[in-house]
Amino acid sequence: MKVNTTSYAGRTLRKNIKVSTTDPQQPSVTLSISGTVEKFVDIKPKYVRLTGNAGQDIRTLVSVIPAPKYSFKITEVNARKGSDIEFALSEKSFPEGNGYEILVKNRKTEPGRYHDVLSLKTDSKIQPIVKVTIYGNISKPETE
Amino acid sequence: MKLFDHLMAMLFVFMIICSPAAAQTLLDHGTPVASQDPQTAEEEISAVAAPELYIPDKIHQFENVPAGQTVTHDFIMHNKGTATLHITGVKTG
Repeated sequence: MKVNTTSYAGRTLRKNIKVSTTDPQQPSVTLSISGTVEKFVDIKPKYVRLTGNAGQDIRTLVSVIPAPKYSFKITEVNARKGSDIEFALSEKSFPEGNGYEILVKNRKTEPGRYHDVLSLKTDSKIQPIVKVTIYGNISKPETE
Repeated sequence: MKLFDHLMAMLFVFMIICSPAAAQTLLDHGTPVASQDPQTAEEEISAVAAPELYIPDKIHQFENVPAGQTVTHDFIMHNKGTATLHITGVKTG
């Protein structure tokens, strides 16, 4: 039985499977797997939304704070497409501990929607890549 | 009367020679006799032979893991029965 823990950070994961057999005494058996999934990293906001009018300065700051138990460094940042955004990574101290801040800015000048993903390469063997999803929604420029 | 006794004794010896089972039946009134019908015998055997599922651990508790990891566990299933055990379905949920 294989379970992906990605969406269970900070929660208890419990998964069951039901097995049907030809045993007349046990025609159906439930097998269960459970355990606690710890946070590897705290990313705020979870998803980046760049919403506004074309021509406006549309930007968001994303904080990336490694869990102290799984401390890591970000060695590189890449965008899957990169055509509609620009980004800059900087180290920063937070009350929770040392981490990073990523400034994400919109580059799209025409109205429309887009989607991109930032891949943060880490020096951690547990999670060599941490992903940050970006949604863009650019409206027509405001008319004066 | 003696002649009658002799005749009965001879009849009994004759029955033992010709059909020992019949003689036994004659001696053991009320003793159950196994069915000689092949179909009934087969049904008796199939009623005994059955698969018997045995799973040592139906619940697995894994140690704390960081999010993003894939947790894998093998559940061991044994058949302790006398007939083949088939897994007819697996559903997640």
